[in-house]
Amino acid sequence: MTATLQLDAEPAGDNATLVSLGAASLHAVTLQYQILEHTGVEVPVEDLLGSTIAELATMVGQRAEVALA
Amino acid sequence: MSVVELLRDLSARGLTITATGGDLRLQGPTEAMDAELVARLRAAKPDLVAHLTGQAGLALTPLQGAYLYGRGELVELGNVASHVYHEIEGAWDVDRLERALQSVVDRHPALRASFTAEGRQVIHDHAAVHIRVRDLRSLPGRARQDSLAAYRHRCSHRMLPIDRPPLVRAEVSVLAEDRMVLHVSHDGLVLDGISMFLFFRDWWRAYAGEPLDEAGMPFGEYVAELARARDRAPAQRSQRYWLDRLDDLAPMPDLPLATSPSAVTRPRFTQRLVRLDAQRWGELRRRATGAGITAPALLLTAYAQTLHRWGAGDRFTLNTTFAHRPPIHPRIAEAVGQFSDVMLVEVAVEADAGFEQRARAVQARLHRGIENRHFSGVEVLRELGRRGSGARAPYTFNCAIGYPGVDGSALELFGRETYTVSQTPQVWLNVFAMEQHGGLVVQVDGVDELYPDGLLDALVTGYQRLLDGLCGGEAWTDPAPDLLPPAQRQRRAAANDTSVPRSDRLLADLVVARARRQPAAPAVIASGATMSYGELHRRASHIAAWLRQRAVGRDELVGLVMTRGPEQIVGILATVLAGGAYLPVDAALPAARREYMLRDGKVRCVLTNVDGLDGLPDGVEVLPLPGGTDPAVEPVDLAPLPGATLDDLAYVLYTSGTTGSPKGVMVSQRSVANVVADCTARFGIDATDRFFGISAFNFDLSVYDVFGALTTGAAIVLPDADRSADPALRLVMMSGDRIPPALPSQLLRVKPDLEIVSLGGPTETTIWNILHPIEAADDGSRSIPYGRPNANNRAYVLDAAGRDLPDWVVGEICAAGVGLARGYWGDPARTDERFRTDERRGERLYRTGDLGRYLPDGDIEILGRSDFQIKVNGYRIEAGEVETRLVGLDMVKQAAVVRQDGARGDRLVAHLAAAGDARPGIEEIRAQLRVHLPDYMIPSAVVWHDALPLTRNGKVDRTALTTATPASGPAAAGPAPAPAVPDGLAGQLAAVWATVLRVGDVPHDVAFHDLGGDSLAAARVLAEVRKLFRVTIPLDQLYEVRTVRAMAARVAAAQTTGGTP
Repeated sequence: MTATLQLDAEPAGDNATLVSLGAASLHAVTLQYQILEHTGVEVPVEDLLGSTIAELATMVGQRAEVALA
Repeated sequence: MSVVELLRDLSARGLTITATGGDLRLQGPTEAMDAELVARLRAAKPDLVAHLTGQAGLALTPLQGAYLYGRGELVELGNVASHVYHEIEGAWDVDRLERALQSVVDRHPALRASFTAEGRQVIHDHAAVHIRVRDLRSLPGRARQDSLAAYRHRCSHRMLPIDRPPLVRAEVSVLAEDRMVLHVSHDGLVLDGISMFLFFRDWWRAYAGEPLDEAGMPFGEYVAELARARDRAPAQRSQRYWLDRLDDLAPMPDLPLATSPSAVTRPRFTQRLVRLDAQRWGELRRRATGAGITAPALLLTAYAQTLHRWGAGDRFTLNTTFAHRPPIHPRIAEAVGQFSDVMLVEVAVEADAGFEQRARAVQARLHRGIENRHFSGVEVLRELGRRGSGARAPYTFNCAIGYPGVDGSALELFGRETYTVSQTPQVWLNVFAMEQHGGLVVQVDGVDELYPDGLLDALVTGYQRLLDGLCGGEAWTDPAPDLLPPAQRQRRAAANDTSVPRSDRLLADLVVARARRQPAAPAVIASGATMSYGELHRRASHIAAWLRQRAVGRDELVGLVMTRGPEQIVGILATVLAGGAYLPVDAALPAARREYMLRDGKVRCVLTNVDGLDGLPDGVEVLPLPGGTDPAVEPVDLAPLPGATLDDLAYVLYTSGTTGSPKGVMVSQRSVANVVADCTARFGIDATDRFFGISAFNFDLSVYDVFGALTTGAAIVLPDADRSADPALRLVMMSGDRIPPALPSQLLRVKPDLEIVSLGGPTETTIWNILHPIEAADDGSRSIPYGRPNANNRAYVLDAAGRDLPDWVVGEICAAGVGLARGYWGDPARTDERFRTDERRGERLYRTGDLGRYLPDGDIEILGRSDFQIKVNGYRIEAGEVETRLVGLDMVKQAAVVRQDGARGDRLVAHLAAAGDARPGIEEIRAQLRVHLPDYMIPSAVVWHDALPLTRNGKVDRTALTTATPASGPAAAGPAPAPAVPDGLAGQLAAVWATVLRVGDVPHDVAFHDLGGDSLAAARVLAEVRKLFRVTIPLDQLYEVRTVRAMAARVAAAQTTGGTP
């Protein structure tokens, strides 16, 4: 994620939030589009920035399943 | 050859070309039409037709549309481009610089765009770049600097022609072989903030010989994506989100202004900077990040908190831009163009919240806004305009931090940027935050002309102080860190440094001492009779003895129910000699009000000069004052009551109350002695002076007449109403919140050696606690300042939380010092509410309810009332008290009273909504009110409404009421008759609308927006109106003329009055 968004941060752990990695809404929008393109799931900007990477993964996984079901 | 170039060629030949129904028509001298030209026209016919009918090229993005529209001079704060100007110092190979710039323009299609007045953009295959060189080497040093300054003045605010791409210009001033200035201008139509960085980076890379990457993203793809996105679900969701919020959207920040925005016809911007070095910015960012706060939220919150301190209000809406680059092309991230959009952000600065809490709230708002980014802020503003709710969002905030791979450092790749400024149409104050060389740079560009002197300097310094405080840590926890510039604080401390020692002698002692020293000297001069100090003392002392016999004690009220006359002065002196406090009651008051005051004041003894006084509460003893005394009778020698001090009450004055009941203000002898001693010393009062006692005795100015004169051996003159000024007049003490500005100069023309002083202060601060000596600058051209506190008094302008407000910012005037009253008679709750101990200052404060502001010279200016207490012809009236009585009348459902200027001065006007069909006239209403209210509280005019106008907060809109036209007789509100419109005028206007809106038929009563009109179309219609009819209608007034019929009426009215309506 840090590489994709070109953040000046150490490689992210699962418990890091996007904000804690120095990201701003700009990054969130980019990521939102990418997740939407790859999974069909639209994750709110608030969740993208405020959730940990582990939480995001769970959220995207659950919503993708719902979308497929 | 492009269409634009072809049209330019035609123009140069004196030819004009029009398109009708798909055909071209060429007009002009035939010798200018050759076969080659005709062939070129034929070849370009489809493009020409499209161009001439406004259909060529691409649509604009919402922000581009706003920028183009803002170039028009009909727009408030328009007549300016979205433009950035840079000056960079260094030395370069100019040819290489030009080739590099050309390659950047060649790479990015958006840079090759031209724009049409119809609101389209055309991307050209080629747009030639030329860097002009200004060789200043031969100029002497001073001339060179002048040349650079003049060039800066001209170029820093330029409007690059929209039909001549690229909308980027570069020039080089050569100062020496190794010293040059690179001047760069670029327009917001083709470059957003991130693109500005990308543009300089690409230019530098090309200059350095690095090959630029493959061709940039076609801008048309972006425009097409925006059009497609409008039909998708997120756009519909976003539209609902914003439209649902419109009715409750917070207003724009309400900062103090020096002039009306519509008066600024050519805005010029000045840039101020806020900076944090790399280390401090890094630490602050880390702290914010640790708290889960992004850099934009951090900086926006600090900016909002600064605006709040400078008067923006507790809740307001800011305008932000955000980079909107959806992943529709592999190289969109590196594309140069205008990819930003506008987003409104509401900010609430909660009084007790810490910075982190506020920043979280702002961040949440930002994120919700971004979530709903698919409905542009431009469209939100347009919808607000359509609803007539005001479509201003002139405080903008932009943050270009965090974009991958590029930041503000790119601006200095060619060398140090020594000057930069930006302009944005319709914007008053713009913030652009970026990172540069690791540090933070915030550029604040504002229209200085709009703001009072020094305000923007102080505000930007305040923003810097707040960011410094956040770096230091303290501003994270303090809900309102001190942002007041130190120079302002020092000026106020100097103005409040008023301490003067005072004696402890009682008021009665001071007067008696005078009477003993000069018994034969005149004390009271009335028409046909003069009372000496000796007689005054004799009479007063015998009455005091009568009061003592009835055990009148300290802080007990003695009623003086009198008509105007010398007995009032005798009664006042008698009361303080006895050791009590006087309560003046105008004998002409309605019986009910008189009785209320005497009963509420627990009055046992009344002194009167009225024969057959009746209607007094049971048990009250009345002493009619004798017309004269036997000169042989000696005065009674009365010792002070045991324990008597200067802190005993001198008097209680009843003023109007908000709940329908008047309130009694308790004033101590110390407060009176203090202001009297101040005036005696300040104005050199002595026994030779004569005081004109023109104030009523239930008005506290009379207190100074009595004790100012009698403690100095001077005399009070009670002039007849028809007497004019005495030729020996030397000092005029003008009292009132707002003195008519021209009055002092008028007086000085009559008597040039006159000393004039403006004095002010509510009853609760004892006669006056603030004054301003009239000086040469008070020549009628400015409002007269309220002034500075007198001896032993202090004054402040505070916000609701009791914090000092900066110069020019309106707050509540608060008073401290010896002048403060003891409180309200029998009303400890109200006393506690208005008189509070201020922990921060360690002193007792009285919140006056007067609105005011500090001026940069340390004076305070008064601006009105914070509640609805109003002053009419010198009387302070609580609107609530009058309204309570009005609503008590059977026929009135709703009432509001306001002060309005009338032909003969102020007047109180009642605005009423009827309870039924009856709408009685003013005389009937006045008669009913007279039962309860004194004359000065009875409205002199009435306006009937179907319902009183309300603000967006649902409260009665008193501002709107002050401009409603009153009628002095019976009045009924009804629709105004439709104005007459000359035959043909509406038809001509309808034709203009039809042409601009491209509709076949324009009904005369359908609103402009309902016909599909937008801001750009409105600008074109109004420009055409000006051209055809020589009538200027500002764009912000479109709402008022939104139908052809209304516009025709406006044009007709303007034509009869000659131009601008």
